[in-house]
Amino acid sequence: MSATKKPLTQHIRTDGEMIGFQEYIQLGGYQAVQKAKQMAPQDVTKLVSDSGLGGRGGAGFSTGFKMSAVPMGDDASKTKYLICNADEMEPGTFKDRLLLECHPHQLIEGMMISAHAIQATVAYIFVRGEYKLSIQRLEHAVQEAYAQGLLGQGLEMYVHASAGRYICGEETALLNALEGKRATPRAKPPFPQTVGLWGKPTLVNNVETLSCLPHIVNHGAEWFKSLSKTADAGTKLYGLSGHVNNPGLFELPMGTTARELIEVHAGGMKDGRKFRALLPGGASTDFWLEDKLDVPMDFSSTAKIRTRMGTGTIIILDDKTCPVGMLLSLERFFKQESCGWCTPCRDGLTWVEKILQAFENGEGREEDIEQLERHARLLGPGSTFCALAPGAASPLGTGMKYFKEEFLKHIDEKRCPYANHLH
Amino acid sequence: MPTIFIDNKPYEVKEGQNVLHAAVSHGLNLPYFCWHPALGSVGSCRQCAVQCFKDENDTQGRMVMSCMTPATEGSRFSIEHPNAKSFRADVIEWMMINHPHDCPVCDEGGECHLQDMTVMTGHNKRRYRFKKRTFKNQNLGPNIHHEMNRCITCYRCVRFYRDVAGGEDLHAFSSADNAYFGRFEDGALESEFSGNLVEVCPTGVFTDKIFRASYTRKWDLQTAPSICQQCSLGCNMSPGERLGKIRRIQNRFNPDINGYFLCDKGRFGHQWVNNTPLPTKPISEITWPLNDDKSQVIGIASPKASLEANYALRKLVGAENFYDAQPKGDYLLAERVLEILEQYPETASVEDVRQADLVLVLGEDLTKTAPMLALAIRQNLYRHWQEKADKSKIPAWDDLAVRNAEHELPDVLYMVHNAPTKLDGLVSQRMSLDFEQISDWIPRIRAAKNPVIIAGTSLKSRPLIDLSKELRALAPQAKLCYVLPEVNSMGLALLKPKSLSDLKSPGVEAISLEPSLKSDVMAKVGDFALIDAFESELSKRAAIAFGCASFAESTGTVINNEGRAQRYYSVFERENKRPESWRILRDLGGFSWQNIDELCGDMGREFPVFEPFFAKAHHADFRVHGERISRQTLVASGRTAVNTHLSMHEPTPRVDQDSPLAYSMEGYHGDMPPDLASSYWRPGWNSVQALNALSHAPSGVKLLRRRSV
Repeated sequence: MSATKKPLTQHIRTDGEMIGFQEYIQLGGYQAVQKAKQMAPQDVTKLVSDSGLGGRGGAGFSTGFKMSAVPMGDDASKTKYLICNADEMEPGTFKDRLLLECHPHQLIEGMMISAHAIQATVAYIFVRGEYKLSIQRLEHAVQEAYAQGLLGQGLEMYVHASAGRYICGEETALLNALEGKRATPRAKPPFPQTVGLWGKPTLVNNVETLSCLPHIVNHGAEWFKSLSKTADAGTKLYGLSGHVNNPGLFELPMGTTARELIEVHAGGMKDGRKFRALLPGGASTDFWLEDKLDVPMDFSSTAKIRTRMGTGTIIILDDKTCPVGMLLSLERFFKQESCGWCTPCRDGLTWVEKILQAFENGEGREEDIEQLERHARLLGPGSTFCALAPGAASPLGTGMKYFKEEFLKHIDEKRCPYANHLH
Repeated sequence: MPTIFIDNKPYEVKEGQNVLHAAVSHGLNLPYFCWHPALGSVGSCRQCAVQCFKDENDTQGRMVMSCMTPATEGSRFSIEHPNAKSFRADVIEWMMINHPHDCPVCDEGGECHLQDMTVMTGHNKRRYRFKKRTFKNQNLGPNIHHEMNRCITCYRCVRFYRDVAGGEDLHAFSSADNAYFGRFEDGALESEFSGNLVEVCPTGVFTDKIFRASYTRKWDLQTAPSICQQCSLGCNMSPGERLGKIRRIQNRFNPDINGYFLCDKGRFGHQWVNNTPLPTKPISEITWPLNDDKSQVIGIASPKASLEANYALRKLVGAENFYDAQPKGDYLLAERVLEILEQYPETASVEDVRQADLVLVLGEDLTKTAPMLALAIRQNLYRHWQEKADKSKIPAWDDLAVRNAEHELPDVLYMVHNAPTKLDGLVSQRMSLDFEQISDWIPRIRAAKNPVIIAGTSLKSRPLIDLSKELRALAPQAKLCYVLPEVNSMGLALLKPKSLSDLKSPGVEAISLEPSLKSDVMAKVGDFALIDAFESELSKRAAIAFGCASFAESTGTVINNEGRAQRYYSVFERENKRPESWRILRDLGGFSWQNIDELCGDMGREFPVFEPFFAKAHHADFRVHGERISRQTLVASGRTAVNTHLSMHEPTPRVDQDSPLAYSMEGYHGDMPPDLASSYWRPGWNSVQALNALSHAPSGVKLLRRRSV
């Protein structure tokens, strides 16, 4: 495969069909895994560490470091698992779907490389249940890989369709779901790398993360770093949805700004709509106002200003859409998807949703604003069992800060002031 | 023992404890829900938040869940820190969003952990202004009432029922604020341990249906320490009475035996105490229908009656005429068991079964014959998981981490049995009753550090009992555990009765004691007198029937399967009080015992084996700070009002001649010896959770000694 600026997506077909095995081979596929297998497992891990690849599920944590936490050597368990987290259910996020539907062999190859690095013998692709086409194509691709003898010799791979909860995207809840238990997260420590699926060392990585591995092996760590505009390496699949002229996915250098994404790649706001705010990466990130449009969208630049890029798939809020309605829609989702394990998330989000619904119905009260602000504080990191509620608190907290006027208008007018908003 | 600092005060804590367990053990008021001393920590409810500090200079700290935080040497926490304190009030507020405001009419009210914790956090004003979510309840059978609207989603019920007790028909359904705990469809709960849900649930979702049918408030129940009468293990329990009826039974903690739990037989099998009592008359008014010379009358002893009753009968008829009515085979088995135990007196308690590294079960279906041993085996396997997980640095209390880390069945349970049992899924190795291959197991038994060999009389198999002895002879470190038929089978065996099958003179007159006899046994004897608590077929056939007090109305000693003597105390007195069976026998024999201590004095001299218990037992004159121990709570209500239809004067409580307990709310209420404690209470802790800060010492005295040759 030739080095390129868009390694993940350059070959994706425009007719919507997947890149099949033969086509992938013609494009130079499965050469990286051959190359990786000639390397010592630790060297593959080191290469990934050196490349600066960060988890594309939204946390941005160093993939190489995560790999290096898997016990290696003779004392380590002989059974180890590699899991691809393809449970893409973050609202507004649809980047993994493209890779799953159109480029499954790239993912399989990435998984084979990772499995070699941690010496895993069994791999699962845990796919969102609604991604029917992804499941179908992944199964086809996995069968092709078995037929070609790529799988089945030291590495078994299974496609597992999720029974469908957002929380299964949390890696430990995913493990419970895969074991057939209730999909509630697990407390850490112990971390999955040491005590994971069925108690064995387990590495869980996102689709986009794993899809980067063949390219890193082929072209090296320095090349991968050079793809980026900033300190965080690689390209990123950015997405845009909302009232822009050209919503969609764009593979661009890591660190591309939101302004460039909106104005250049998404063709600007639709006529008659003005930009008001955006959620940078799925629903569980802070609202950004215009002032953050020039912040490089990567993990470390956003961390510096105490916010998060998340999955990098932007949801735009324009001036004709009711922010309260948008918050209601988001919080209703989080409330519904709470696993019900810990109290703040289970009952706190219920309260939040009920209040936002009251605003929507024109029944909001002034003391409700205080309750929403209190919940945005209380559901933050440290008080809940996992990151779901803090994720829900991110748009709520910033929403309360930026759109308080809108809430007051709802109270004053005893109705939603936006006539044509959609939920 | 590490020292930790809570609000700048040092506390010594047990090695390997979490901060919550340490704090509540020291009696600190730190609220919690999902944690339970026997279930460990899962960190779900978020109620036990405390502030954690890096060192003494750190004033800000960060909030942590105390149940998920190890109490390591020198670590510093604050319960009172405003951040954690207000968060705990917030958590209660969330819990109460959907909780019914029916405390005054709720059957859990007054012993509700949720109620206690709500008061403790100070949450008292409702800010949530929306509709509560409601659930449909299920019919969970005759024992447990289901009231899902009260649920606060602490997950304790499923964690006990499924993870600890191995039940499969109670689930957590749905998610978010709709999480539902119940069965797939209506129907009786299948687990033998379902009754523990009543005590495990921190609020009123699972309540005692039998209690509910004749409900009274916890504080109006008169209780006394008692011993379960349903099997030979002698679990410690606390029956509660009001207005002459036993209303319910709750667990009484004994770490050596039942720990925190009871089986359903023990918890729910008590309504027979409320059957029609057999009436009685003073001996002076009775015309004795049998031979006046009592030495011409045989005595038929009972393994269900107290040691005192059996001894009094033996004294009355003489050792020559003292018979055990079990079929010959059963009698010989009991004799054999005692013979073996006199050679190998190191018996295993239920706790020993929990701690063993190998458990051999020879022919007993424990879930049926001694359910708490079956539970102990499940607890044992989990303990093995905990030890294994410790090597991956997972603390023993981190329940879900232990269960997620360990999946392999520990090599612990070896079983000889033909029929399916409920423990089959836990068995490492199994062979049939002809046990030809038993020699294969011998190296494993010899290699074990603290193995327990469980056998019993339920299959009526001498070869199984002999096998247990042979295995014990090969493994001196092993402890034996025999499951016997009745609560006092061991006690009766120690009194050395003869077998009724060997009776030389059929048709002889007899006195029979609280019999569990089938009528055909009585066909061997002629006219008989009967001493029993309740009317029965047999009582109608008896030449004379004496009504005696049941275990709930009398004080007596029973000896469990391990040879542990324990005393149960009279819980209440009926309106028409009937004497204890030993008092009837005393009067028939003209003996002089004024109270149980005098009788036991004689018994101890005659049977020195019992002496260590009688020496240690609390005599009737035992007092704490000069006071008797109260059977009633400090707030028992209606003591004058309930009897106004009879008399407007408050009746004087009768003096209990046999125990240091008082039938009164007056008396001592504080910390007391564990064998005299029947209810748990501390200020602010009205539920069974008060136990966490109280004494955890075992009680009872193990009597078996090696027979001197």
